Amino acid sequence: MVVEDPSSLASVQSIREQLNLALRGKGDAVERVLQCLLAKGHLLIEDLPGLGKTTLAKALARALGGMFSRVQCTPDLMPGDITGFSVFNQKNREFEFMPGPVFSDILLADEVNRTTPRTQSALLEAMAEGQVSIDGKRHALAPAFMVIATQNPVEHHGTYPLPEAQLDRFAMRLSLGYPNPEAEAEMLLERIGTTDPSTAKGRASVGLERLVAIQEEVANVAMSRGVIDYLVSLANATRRHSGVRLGLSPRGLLIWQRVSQARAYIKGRGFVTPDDIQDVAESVLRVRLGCQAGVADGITQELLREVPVPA
Amino acid sequence: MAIDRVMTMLMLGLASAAAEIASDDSRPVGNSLSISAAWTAGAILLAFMMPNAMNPRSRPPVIPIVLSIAFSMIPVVSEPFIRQQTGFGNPLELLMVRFLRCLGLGLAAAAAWRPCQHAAVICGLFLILFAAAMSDHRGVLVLVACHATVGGIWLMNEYRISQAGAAIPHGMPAVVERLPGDLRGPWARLVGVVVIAAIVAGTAVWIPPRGGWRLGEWIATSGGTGEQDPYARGGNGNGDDETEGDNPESTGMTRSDIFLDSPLPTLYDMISDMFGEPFKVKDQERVEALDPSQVKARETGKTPADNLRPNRSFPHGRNKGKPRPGAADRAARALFEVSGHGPLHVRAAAYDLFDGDAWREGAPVRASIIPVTRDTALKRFVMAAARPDADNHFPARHEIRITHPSGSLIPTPPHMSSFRLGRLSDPSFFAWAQPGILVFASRKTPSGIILDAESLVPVAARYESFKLTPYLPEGGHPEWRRPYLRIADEWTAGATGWSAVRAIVDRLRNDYRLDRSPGPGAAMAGQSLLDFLLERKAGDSHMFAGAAAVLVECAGYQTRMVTGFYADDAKKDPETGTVPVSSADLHAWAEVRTSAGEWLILEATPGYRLPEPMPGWGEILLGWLATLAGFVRDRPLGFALPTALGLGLLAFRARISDAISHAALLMTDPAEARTLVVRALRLIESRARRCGSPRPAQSTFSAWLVRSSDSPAVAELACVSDWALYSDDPSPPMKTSEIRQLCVGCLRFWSGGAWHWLGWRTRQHGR
Repeated sequence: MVVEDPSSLASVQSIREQLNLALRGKGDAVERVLQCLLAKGHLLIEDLPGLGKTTLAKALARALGGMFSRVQCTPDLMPGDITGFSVFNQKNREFEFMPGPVFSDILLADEVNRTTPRTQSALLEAMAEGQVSIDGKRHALAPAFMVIATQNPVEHHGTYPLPEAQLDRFAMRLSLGYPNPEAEAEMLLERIGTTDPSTAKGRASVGLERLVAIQEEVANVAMSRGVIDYLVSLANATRRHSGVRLGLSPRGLLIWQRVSQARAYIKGRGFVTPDDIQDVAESVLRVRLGCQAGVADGITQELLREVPVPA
Repeated sequence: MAIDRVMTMLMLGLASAAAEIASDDSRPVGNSLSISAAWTAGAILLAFMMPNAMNPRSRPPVIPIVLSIAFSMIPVVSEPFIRQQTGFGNPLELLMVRFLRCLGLGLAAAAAWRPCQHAAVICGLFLILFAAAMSDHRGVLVLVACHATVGGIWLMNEYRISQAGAAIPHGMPAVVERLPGDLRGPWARLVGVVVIAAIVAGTAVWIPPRGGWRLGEWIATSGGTGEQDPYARGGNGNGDDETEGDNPESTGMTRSDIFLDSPLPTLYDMISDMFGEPFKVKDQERVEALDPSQVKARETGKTPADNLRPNRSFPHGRNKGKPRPGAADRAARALFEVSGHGPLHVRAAAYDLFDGDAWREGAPVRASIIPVTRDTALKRFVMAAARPDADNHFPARHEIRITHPSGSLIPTPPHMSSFRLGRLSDPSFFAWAQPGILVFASRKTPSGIILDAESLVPVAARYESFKLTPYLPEGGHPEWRRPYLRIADEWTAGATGWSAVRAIVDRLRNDYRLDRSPGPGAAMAGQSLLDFLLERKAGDSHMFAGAAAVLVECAGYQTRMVTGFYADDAKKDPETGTVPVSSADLHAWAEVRTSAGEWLILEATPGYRLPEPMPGWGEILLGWLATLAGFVRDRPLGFALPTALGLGLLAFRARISDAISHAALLMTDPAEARTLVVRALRLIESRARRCGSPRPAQSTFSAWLVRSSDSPAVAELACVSDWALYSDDPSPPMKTSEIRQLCVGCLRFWSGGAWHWLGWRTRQHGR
């Protein structure tokens, strides 16, 4: 019925608190990030500059105690700049592999739509399979590897919009938005007397091994047949809807299931309810429904109204 | 409700009414409109039962389709029962049209989905096509015009919706190209109006007379129309038909020779068979002069047709007749078959003079030129007599198919106003044998010919409004009439006019008995009628007819006795819907002559009726109410108790059902925690639905409960509800006894009466 190990929930709570400290007044976004993290998904953040994307990614890496790396995507960025490359060592006369920033636990790909499709696709294998192949050799990535990509929704000049195949590999798309005035005031108060915000008070990290264990527990959250049927009905409804050009793929359906499991886990339940599915529906479908810009959330709400829950 | 749905239902209603009128344009339009209105009302009810369409453009779900098809199957499924109950059946093609009508209405009920709406409109168009093709009735034309108008508006609305469908989503850039005004043409609208007016006018002029028939030939029927197509079939095996042509020589029976040579029985033989042979009066009291035709007949050994014989007589004193054949008897072969308003008296012979024992015909009027004219537009023969007043007559239509004709008699309704007989177009073929008795002038009646007659039947209940002229036989009443005069005086008790006539007829109907056994025999020859009136008080129908005719004449009004056939609609053949009339239906009745020269039937025989006008819907309703009132008056307690019980159950159905569910919940085994929780949830849901705040289908129980109340118990129930509904884990989140307590507590909180529900609703709406 409930999550067996209370310490797991305590770990989740610890990550939540650290993220909340780093990102004031964004409790909902923090919950989404947690769901995405526990579901082993990758996150696409679409927002204006300066709203805390990098802060979020860094805080997450710090909370997990993992390695954080950042790639600022530009049009001249090469795939090797992300994945790493082999260089010839003059001393021992051998090629040596120089791992790229992808060999970290949390990878922040800033303004991912500014780089070329070729470089964007370098991330495909890493995100989907947790490995990269360079010079015919497979290099496994960290077990808790997570990509947080950002893109600027305002400036479209000189950008390469992410293709559908790439988008489908993200678990969800978030928009942080401006914090509310109280949170902003609190943030300003906090910074008085602090020169380096990165050294701000932080609690002990959870540890990557712990995270992997929690992710395994999430995968074990039960889902009854009725709830599975409900999820499948929703997926089919996306494919039938006249406003949707490209319905939900089976991969998308699997991600939706996993994120729902993560949400149930965070709520302390050992099983998924339709509420979990409904709660994560917008953020999961927003990134992968092939429809006109800005209407995905409306369509999602329409589908949720149309398909009755099992009761 | 959306305007397009309303218009779709309206179009289908109009199309249904048009098809209903066209399917039987001879009945009153009000009946057809009532029937179609009832079906349309059913479809509107069905529309309220349909689920809501989230996406009108999506494919409709199964439920509305199933409901529509179930609705359309009603006429098909009920047809066998209707046939069994009424004996009438609808032809297959009409059944198909009714199926289509109901399918269209059912789809119109599901018009929230646009595919259903389009299919419904197509069904409506087919119904309109059917109506326009089958009937020239004015009502159909009006309804077709209304349908076209509503259809036009519907199409405009459809265009508007399709434009809306192409609208650009909010926030997307769009380029709207505006055409320069001169590209559209300054006269475009005027030309459009002229073209539409021309089409409408051309349709109005051209479609009704010709297009209707042309379209009608596309509709499969059991027989062709025959109006335009000389090779069309004559119908469903209606027998011999006439050949076409204006030349009288060519207007004959295609198989006449069979009938001219056939030894078919005459009416005279039939009367003798059924009512018994008349007594042979030993002493010759009467000398009959033979007219040339009879002399010739005796010389050649051939007897003339019975209604051409002069001075036919009908003696009341008769031997025993043959037993009346049963329905299955071969001897009961139908002479003719009647369909239409019943019962029907068909005159065969009329007798004006009574000599104390036998009736005889009056002055022969045979071979006179018939006072009927041919209405070429209607293609019918119309009686030249003045049209009677509509208040005291009602219209009736009969179709009489002559299967085994007797002599040259044409069986006709007694008050016929116009008729069509086969393809005959020349009035000189007919003659009046006697007033109101139509015969072929110079030939025998062929079999298989169909008489289509329209009548204006006097309403028996309003006989008083017909004026009677006092009448005294030439030379006064003879001596033998004294006993009859005395009886008439006694029965009428000084009354005159219709009161006297009614008194005599009612006395005969009430105090006398129909008895087909023979009278006292030859000993009473010459006194049979007096014996019937004074002693036996029982006899065959001719006794009643003769007595009524004599007594009414003694009361001072001109009468006659008529023999003929009585087509009783109780004997209707359920297969064919017609009344077969055989020799067993021979009957006699009296008729009284009004000042206008009309012969009105006096039915003095008990058990026989006069036709009555079809009751209107209001009268039928009043009849039902009267029956109900009678039932209530007779059994007040038997009515009041079940009614009170039923009303109580109806009024408190919600509480009763709630109490039963609650009891079932309390009796649930506490170990069955999941069942307990599910039952409690269902009960809470049903209560909320009843008070108008149902759980939305897309909301889980837990989300809905938490939204509805701040109570911690409800929050706990929400948590348990998630476990009960969505978890496969057999162990409940709390003890079973606690779960039971929680469920019972929550139910108590939500069962305290209306104010609780008011609070629930306020909270729901407040959020």
